Amino acid sequence: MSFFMIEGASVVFRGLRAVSSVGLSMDKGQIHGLIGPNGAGKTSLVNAISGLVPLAAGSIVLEGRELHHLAAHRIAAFGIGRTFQHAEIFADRTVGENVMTGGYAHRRSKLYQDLLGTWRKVTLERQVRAEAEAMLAAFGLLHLRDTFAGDLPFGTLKKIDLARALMARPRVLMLDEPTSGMNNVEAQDVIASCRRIADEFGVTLLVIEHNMRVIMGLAQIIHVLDHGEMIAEGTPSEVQKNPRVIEAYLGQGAAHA
Amino acid sequence: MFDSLGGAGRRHAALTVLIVVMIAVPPWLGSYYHFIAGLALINVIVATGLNLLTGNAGQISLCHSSFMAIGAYTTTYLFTKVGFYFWLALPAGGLLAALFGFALGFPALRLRGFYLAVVTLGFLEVTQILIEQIPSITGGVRGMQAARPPIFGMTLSSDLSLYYAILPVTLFGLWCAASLLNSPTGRAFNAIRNSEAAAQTLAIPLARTKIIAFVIAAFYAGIGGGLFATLVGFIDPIEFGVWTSIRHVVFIIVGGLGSVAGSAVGAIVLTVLPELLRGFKEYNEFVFGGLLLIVLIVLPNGLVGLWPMLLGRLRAFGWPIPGKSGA
Amino acid sequence: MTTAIFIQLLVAGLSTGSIYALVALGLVLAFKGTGILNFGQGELVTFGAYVALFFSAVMKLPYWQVFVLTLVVAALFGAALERGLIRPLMRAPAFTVVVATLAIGLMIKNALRLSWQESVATIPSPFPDSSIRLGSISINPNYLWITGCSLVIMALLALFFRSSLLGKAMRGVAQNQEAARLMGIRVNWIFSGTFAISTLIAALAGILLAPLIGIQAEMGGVILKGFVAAILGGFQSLLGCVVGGLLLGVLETFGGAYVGGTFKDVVAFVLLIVILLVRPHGLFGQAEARRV
Repeated sequence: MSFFMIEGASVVFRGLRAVSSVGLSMDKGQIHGLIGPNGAGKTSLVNAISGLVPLAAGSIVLEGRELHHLAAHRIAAFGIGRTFQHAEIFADRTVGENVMTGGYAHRRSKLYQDLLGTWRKVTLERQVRAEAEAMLAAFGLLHLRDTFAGDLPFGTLKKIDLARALMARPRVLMLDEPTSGMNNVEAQDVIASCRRIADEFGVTLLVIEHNMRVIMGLAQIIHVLDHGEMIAEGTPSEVQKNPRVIEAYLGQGAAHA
Repeated sequence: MFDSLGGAGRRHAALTVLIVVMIAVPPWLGSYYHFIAGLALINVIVATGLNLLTGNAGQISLCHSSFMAIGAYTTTYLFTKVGFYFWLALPAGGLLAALFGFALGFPALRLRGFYLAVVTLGFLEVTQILIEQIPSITGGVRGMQAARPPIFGMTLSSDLSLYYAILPVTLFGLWCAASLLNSPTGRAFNAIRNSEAAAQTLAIPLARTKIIAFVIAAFYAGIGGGLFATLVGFIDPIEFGVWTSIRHVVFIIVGGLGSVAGSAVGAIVLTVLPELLRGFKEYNEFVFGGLLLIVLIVLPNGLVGLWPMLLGRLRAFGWPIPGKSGA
Repeated sequence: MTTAIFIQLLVAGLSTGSIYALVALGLVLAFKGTGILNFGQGELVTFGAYVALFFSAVMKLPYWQVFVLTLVVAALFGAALERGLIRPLMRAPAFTVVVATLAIGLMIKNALRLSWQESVATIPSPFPDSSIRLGSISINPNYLWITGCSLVIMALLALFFRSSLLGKAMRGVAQNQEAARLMGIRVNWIFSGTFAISTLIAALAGILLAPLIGIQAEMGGVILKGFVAAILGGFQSLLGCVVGGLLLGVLETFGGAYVGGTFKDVVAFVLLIVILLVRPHGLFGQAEARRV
């Protein structure tokens, strides 16, 4: 029984099969890549796993627990986190507040404590604030703590999205194009962070990427989707040589960096 | 610490100044203005609740006057007809209003934007009809007589004394709102307004959060309604129609959405302003509309944006003002 | 219920419904064309009625001239309003714009009330007061005029948007302002034009409404019904507004006859709530999917 397993997952939008019977399994602490041409169904699969979109068929199991029947926020509370293609940042809040919002996934004060401002709430806030600042520092964003997120460039927003998702202490973290909008230096930064996240904190990563150089260097196993179906999976070198994959990309492959 | 008030220290300072004004100024005003001051405090309470719901949690509600009405009728009925102690009847009114707020949270789970606004409008219409249809409790179209509450044995018959009784309620309401915005629940409010998807993946329960927002806002409105009844001395159902709801929305937009200080500033300024414009006689609505328009064009984010804007202008002129970008 | 009463109620319902449809149309047009939700639309209806009153009672012009002139004046006013007051607001957040349009409406209402102090205010109808008789059914020709006029105007609008260059340009701007600009469309002029048409429609509603309820400053309250009609129709299409408005008018009239006056408004809202809970995007609207 593997740590995180998806079997026969299908996602259907008004008659269009976005994802058809996809399965994958991950061991704890691994980094897997999810690649495929545009429209292959990668984000739809991730949306279904995180519960934002209903799963038409199939199952999602984390450490023996079935998750596909749960509401999205419960899936998140159980340990599945993700980032977004468009970052989904809270634009009219400061960067600090954005990141803090992720910190309550596993600990909360009660409503009356929030309203009255009791000691419990105050200490919780202090804790979460400290953790958020540490997280921002780790990403080199501490100087932006009090800046309104809406004013910032896209690459920075992606980092904030990542920091925010990490605050929720996910066991499985799905990243949707984490390096988009970044130059090579920033992308390498994010990759290093991803490795650190997996190694030091034992988070299992599933990374959607279009940047081949990045994903081939980062992931241990790569899954390839095309038109909603899994057409290949294996180590980076295996996948790069796979003719079906090359065909799906029409020769973009490793040249696409 | 209170950065939920918008721009850290600045809005904290604005709120402090406001509170000092609220405490110290009224005795110096003429007795007519004591009534207006009391009204302003009540509007602050209602606006604060509404701002939490709309400005922070992003849920549109046009039935706030109905929540006020429920609070007003319940409090007054319990106080004058059943003989409850007023300061117990008041939260009871708030609780009943909160119950209806709870019910209204459910349409909010499926609808957004204008659609939600229309459902809340529908609720308002239904409440108005109901008020007229049970005159045995509500006095129907003719309204209900209210009375001044007692405290420590004396009756608060003067407007000024009632003002000072309402003031701690208002301040407590402001405190709770500010505290809430700086708490997990408050962050959840702001999260669901910006991105429901991201909020859910951070383990924020959408349904629960929206309903909590409605319940709290309705409670505030119910309390405001109960106090309103006792201040005016009479409940006229006309007071709780669409335009009252819209007026409260205007308070928070002109004051500043999502900001506690904004609720207070907007409510106070827009309660006092029409009185100051009385000198214009028939033109007063025209002038009011004009002023409103000017404020909105110059300060699209509300009056709370005034101070940061001035500082920004001064900074642009070269004044050495410390500050962060984008605040 | 006899056939005669049924027909009479239907005719009355359709005519009130057409007015609701016109108000809805003005709202939706302005919204789709400029992104602005004009809460002052009701006051533009009042404006139309008062301008018609001016031409009729002061200038003593015959109905047809009053009709045309009012629409022209309204269109010009709408364009001026957009250029002068609405344009600076376009960059503001949505809520702010809503309140600003409310403020503008308030100013218009106040100005109109002050400019016409006399209590007697109505415009003569184009038809004689006697009813048309069809067998045992007696129909007020005004109702037919209102319904007919509205439907003709709406058909003309549909044609305009489908076939004329200006209409197509407006549709383009409604869909994507950036792209329209890049295509060389003078988006600012389109905005003015859209508001001009929206105000013209409102004024038409005012002219048609006046004989039904008289002309007074509070006429603008009809905007609420217009909103309901627009939302029933999905807030997206011309057809939606028409169907929504007519449906609302008919149901309201029949509801009022069956259940009694006070419950008339409730019927409308209950219907609305039921439809929204079942089909949140109205009868013709389409769900807006957000891609994450």
